[in-house]
Amino acid sequence: MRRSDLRDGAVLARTELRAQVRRIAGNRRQLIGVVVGLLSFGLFFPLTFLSQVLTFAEGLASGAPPLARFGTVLVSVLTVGVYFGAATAINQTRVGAIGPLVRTSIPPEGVVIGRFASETLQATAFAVVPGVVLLVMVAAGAGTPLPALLVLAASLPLLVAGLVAGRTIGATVRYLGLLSRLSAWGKAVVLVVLAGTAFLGLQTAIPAVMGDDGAPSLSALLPGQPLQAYASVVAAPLGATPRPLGVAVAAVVLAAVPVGLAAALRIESALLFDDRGDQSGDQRTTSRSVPRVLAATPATRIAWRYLLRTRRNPKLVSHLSMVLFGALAFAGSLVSQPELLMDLGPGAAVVAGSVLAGATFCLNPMGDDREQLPLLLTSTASTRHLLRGRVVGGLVVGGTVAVGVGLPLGLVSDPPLRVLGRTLLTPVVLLAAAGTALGVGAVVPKFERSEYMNVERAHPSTLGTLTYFFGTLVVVGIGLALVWLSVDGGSGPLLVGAWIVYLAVLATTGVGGYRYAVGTFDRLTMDDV
Amino acid sequence: MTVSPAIATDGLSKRYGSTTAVADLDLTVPSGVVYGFLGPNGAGKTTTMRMLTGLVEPSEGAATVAGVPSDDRRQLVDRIGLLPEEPPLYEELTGREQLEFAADLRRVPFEQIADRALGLCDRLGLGEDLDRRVDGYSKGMRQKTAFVQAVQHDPSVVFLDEPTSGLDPRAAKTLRELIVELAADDTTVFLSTHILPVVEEIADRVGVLHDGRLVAEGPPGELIGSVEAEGGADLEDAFLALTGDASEAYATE
Repeated sequence: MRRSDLRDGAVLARTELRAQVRRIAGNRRQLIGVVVGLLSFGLFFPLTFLSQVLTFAEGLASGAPPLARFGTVLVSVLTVGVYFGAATAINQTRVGAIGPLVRTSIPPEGVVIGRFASETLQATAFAVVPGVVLLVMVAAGAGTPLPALLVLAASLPLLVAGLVAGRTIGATVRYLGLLSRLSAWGKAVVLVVLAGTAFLGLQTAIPAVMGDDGAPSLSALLPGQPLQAYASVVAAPLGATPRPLGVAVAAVVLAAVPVGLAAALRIESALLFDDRGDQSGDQRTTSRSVPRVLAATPATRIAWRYLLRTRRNPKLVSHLSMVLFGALAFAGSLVSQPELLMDLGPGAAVVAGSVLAGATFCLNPMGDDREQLPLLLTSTASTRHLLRGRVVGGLVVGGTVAVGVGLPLGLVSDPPLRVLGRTLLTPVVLLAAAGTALGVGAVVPKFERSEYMNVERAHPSTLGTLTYFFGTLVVVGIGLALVWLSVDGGSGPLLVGAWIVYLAVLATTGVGGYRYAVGTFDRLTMDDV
Repeated sequence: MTVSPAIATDGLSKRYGSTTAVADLDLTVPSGVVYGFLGPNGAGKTTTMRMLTGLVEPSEGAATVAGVPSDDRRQLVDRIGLLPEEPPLYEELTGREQLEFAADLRRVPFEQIADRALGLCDRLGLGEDLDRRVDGYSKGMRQKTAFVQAVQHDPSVVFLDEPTSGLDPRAAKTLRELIVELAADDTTVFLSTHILPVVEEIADRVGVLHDGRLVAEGPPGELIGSVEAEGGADLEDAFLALTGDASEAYATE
């Protein structure tokens, strides 16, 4: 690494940081979000652990530092470093339009150093406030600043080593992704399988780690033993007995920084000039005509084009990863209780299908098409057809899950009457969900591009998405409960009344959402964008 | 019998905060002509086009396009076509799918307009690439697709913003011919471009916008003639003379 590379890197990092600060400062909504996020995360997160931190701090000042707990703290710091390092290495889309200029203006090592510095600083900025608050809490709990300073001294090298190691891991993952020449869908499947495996692994491991069923407890299993030894070295001024292993760990941590940096530099420099590119732009495609089943109306033909685009580019539905996390939670429960598949599976499929019916294409209907608005607004007398197309597309996706998964499971596990009731309810809740999602998308449209799951586009509003997800979960859950009560012998005016209210709510949110969206987007102009 | 103009504006203005993008624009464009709309960068051409196509609301004034108010989107969309500066295409669709999609947006069965659309594609040399995805298209191919998309439904008025941008000389020549043919078929072409020889060659009338105001309007020959006394010989000279205030002010300073 040459000095000029460091200088170029510093210039690039400074420029990127300045641009990012101006971008946030120039957008009042984003600025408020960042400030609120910083304050709430910075204060509430540390306060969640107030009693544990104070106990830890008292222990540090007691003359016999609690090394097991210190080891746990250091593991957390290391994990945070590795996570942010890997995440910044994988999320590289922000190089954006200036990429070619930067790449042809300064040596690749300078580019990598600059981007590493700016991205790391941006990613870890959120950790500064809670970190300081936690250290103040340690100092307050110990009654003296020395323990806090020693915790800081122990944590910083680990954090940096974690960031560098994570960066190397992330860069390697990107490199392997390019080597694999997988399509975008292939990568999405690999990601889902990896996330699912990790999630299910955690679900299985947590009871064991927590000491249930006579299994060993957390402190014994943590890779904290070496870090506890490392803590014993750092905490020597507080009365801990330094262990030789701790000195070796400290040496490894310090050595990991230059070694990891050199590795990350090498891999990322190679990646900068790799021309294999994104395989999602596969040019073997030929035109596909609309299948007969969706050829009936302009709206259904529009729906087909949305489905086709999604088939070719899964990034268009990256916001659905939230649904995936919910599905993983259910799958995790299945590991410990397999019988839930038959008990809850059919209903869960209807819930998931309903969520997908609205979430797939309806949560940000016009923001999704931000770049095409000049075409859409000068071609459609009313956005009605476009929105109906999105609804139909969503119904195809949601219906496939609700019926394709829910019905077979129901036929195996439920009495016929219950299957029939659920089957009758399904199209109603799917339609209502899609209409409601359009309404949500019209209330909180998003036209600014942002990055989520390594995809930079106009994603739906997070608040709107979460509200829709949980609302749909609850409302469809109530519908399923009503079906269950109705077919299993329930009757009487109360149940009839409940159905009337329920269907009225569905009609109000579904039809109301659709109408509100049509009204709002028919008045949309480029002034609103 | 009086033939109503294709485009008529009355005191059309657009302000963004304290900035006036277009001020008090009175414009009349007859039917079936190629109207060259010129102006330096930031003069307000794109904003004017957006107001005329209903994409933005005027702050003051009104406009009619093809006989309907520009803010009546329901009526307007059947009569207009728009090629904006950035071609509005979906990266994941093929050129053919994109054209079919645009037809569906207008509720026009593509089969009805396929001959016209595919004929235009062939003339622009796009025919063989129609079944490739847009994300593999060059800038010129995108421009051609977006042009066909804007005119395939045979609109009364078509708005073209820098239509020859990114086109090779042969395609640019074909496009100029197509524009003239459109006008001959009674389609009014509202053409915004910085390539003045193109305007001089094909435009029937020219409007020059400067700092949001219409500073000159008429047939190209008339505009050129108005500055000939100062040594002007072509539309470029006329344009520079008409919009030269700012640069002259800088030069004097």
